[in-house]
Amino acid sequence: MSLKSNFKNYCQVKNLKWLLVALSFFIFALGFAFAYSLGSSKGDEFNAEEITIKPFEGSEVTDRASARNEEGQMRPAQEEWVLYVTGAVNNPGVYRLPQDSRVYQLVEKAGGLTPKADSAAVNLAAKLNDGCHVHVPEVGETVSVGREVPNVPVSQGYSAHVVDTGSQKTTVDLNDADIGTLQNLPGIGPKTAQAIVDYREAKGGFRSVEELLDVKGIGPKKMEKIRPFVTVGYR
Amino acid sequence: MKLLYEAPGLCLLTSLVISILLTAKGFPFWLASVVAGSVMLSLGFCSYDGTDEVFAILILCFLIGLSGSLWLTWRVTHEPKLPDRLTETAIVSFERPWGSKRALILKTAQGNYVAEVTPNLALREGDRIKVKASVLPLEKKTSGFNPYTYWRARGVSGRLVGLQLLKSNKGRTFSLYCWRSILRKWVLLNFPLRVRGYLLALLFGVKDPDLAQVHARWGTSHLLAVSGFHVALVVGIVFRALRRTRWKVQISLFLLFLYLAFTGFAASAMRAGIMVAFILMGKLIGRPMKAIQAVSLAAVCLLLWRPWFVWDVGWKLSVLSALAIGCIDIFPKRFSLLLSSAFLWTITAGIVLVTFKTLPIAGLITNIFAIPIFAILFMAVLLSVPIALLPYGLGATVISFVEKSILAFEYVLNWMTSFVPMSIVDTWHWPFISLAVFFIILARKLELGCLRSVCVTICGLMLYGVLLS
Repeated sequence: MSLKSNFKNYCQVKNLKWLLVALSFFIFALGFAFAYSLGSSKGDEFNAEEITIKPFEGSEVTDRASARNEEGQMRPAQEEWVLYVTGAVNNPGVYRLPQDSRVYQLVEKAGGLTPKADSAAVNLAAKLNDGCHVHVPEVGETVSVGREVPNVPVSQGYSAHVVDTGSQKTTVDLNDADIGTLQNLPGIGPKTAQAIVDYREAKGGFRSVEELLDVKGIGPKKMEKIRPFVTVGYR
Repeated sequence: MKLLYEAPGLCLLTSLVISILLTAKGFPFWLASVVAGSVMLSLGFCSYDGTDEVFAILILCFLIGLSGSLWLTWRVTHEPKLPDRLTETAIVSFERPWGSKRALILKTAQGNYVAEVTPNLALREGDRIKVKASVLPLEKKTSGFNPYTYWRARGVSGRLVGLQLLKSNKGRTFSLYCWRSILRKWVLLNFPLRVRGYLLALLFGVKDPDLAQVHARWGTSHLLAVSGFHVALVVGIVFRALRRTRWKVQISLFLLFLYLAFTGFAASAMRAGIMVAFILMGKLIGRPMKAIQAVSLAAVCLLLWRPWFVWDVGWKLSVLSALAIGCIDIFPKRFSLLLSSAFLWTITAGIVLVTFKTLPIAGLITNIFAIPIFAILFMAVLLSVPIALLPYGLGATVISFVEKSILAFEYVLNWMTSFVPMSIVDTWHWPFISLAVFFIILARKLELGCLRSVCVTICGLMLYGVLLS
């Protein structure tokens, strides 16, 4: 018998025809999966490129880890915020939460609201800041506000129940804030806020808080008024 | 054993698992179903013998697999609609430790929601509460433990934040959850340490922290999770006790359902329960079913119910181990105990290492002795429940004997473990080794021949690589 007929017999005995069919289905499946993965990964690369450009183009994103304080020194990268919660929660007290936490996370950490809590009087979605004091009132309770938080509008339902401790000031980043946020600073109206933004765009950002004196409409008096509430972030 | 004659369910299972995993990787649901269907056809043709009958089974499997994949992948990609706020009466249907807090599943008329609460609230299963809260989607994580898949596999659709809880005046309900809670309390108060730990694991799927630590050291943690071992034990006792009665299968099935409900419908228990139910029903209609087919169908049923089980460690370990046990009869009888223990340890090593990052080598030896001896001890522990009711301190004497027997065996296992204190720590190649061994043994069991076994193993590993990438 020739080699060819031997091979033919072997193929028939082992049903190799079907094995080849099986392998072709597998290759088809794998090829499809690879083709799709390659296509989608190219798309991802394109998106990633867009995202990396963003911080340089707009003022929306700031690098928190490398942010600088008023003196221009590097602020150490914080991993946790220390927060205080009182009022109608199951376990009032001081808690540590990751950065960028919200009020509901602090309330959850404190064991949740008690049945007497006035859940409509506190904005659970509001953003927190390091060193914040959140007071959850009971139904019918009136809350005395310790200190208004300047960078968060009252409409967010934040300032009524989040009390700034004073030791950790809530500050507005001059290199990051928009006109609306700047207007919350004492003595800053829409015109001055626009002037600050124009100056920032023209000079490529503030390097120190004192540079505010160069902005039209801000004198030494106004400067002293707003100084506790502003900072200069990395740009 | 021929794949398409005796275990076509395995083809279906392969198709469904691949389609769900591809969808999670970002494939559109139709493409994931097509790729999964092709892989299923590939597996089917690998064992195809050229007859029309088998071809018909293959095409039927392909069509069922394709429609099942389309449905499941659609479900996985579509989020449930959540209300913004929830003001409802709810029943605590499940509670477990969750870091420093307790996680509760609250069953409401609008669906099941999870809430994290302080342990001080002391809420128990079966408690009826009034809940006011905001509803948020479940948290998703791409690396490490993913709360989203964990809770979705338990029927939860959202999480509650800003909780206001008020215990209802009606107090506890007379639901199954309440009975679970009452029985749990009774076990905790009336049994010594070890007996109660195993009873809680056996009956309620609750892990005692001390026992969990000890079993982790021995490499026998699977004995604490309600699995096929426990289900087979419970059903085995009932079936043996009723062997002379006419309704033994029906009664066993009913008690099996009750047992599963008491375990809280854990993934591994459900898999084992459905598998045993298939085998019992096969007996009832006079068509016995192969173990691999029963396991595959049970796993398919669970996926059709909740596709997120694919990511559940309990489900993965349970299905893989049960499929492996179905293949054990290919080993020579003389060494079957030794080889099967090593085989099971090897094929589960991949999942265990990926999930827990460490695997005690002692498990290779301890399992050989632990499984048969714990089968006897667990039987004694289960029987101690009615014995505890005996008067004049008789029950207490028997239970104390069981406790001492467990402690004695614990001593022996500790002694054995002291010889092999090493553990394997996270190594990337273990999942590949585990899968390769599994594919080879499975191919041998399916009588695929050398060439096909090698092809199945290589293709299986390539597919795993694609799913990992």
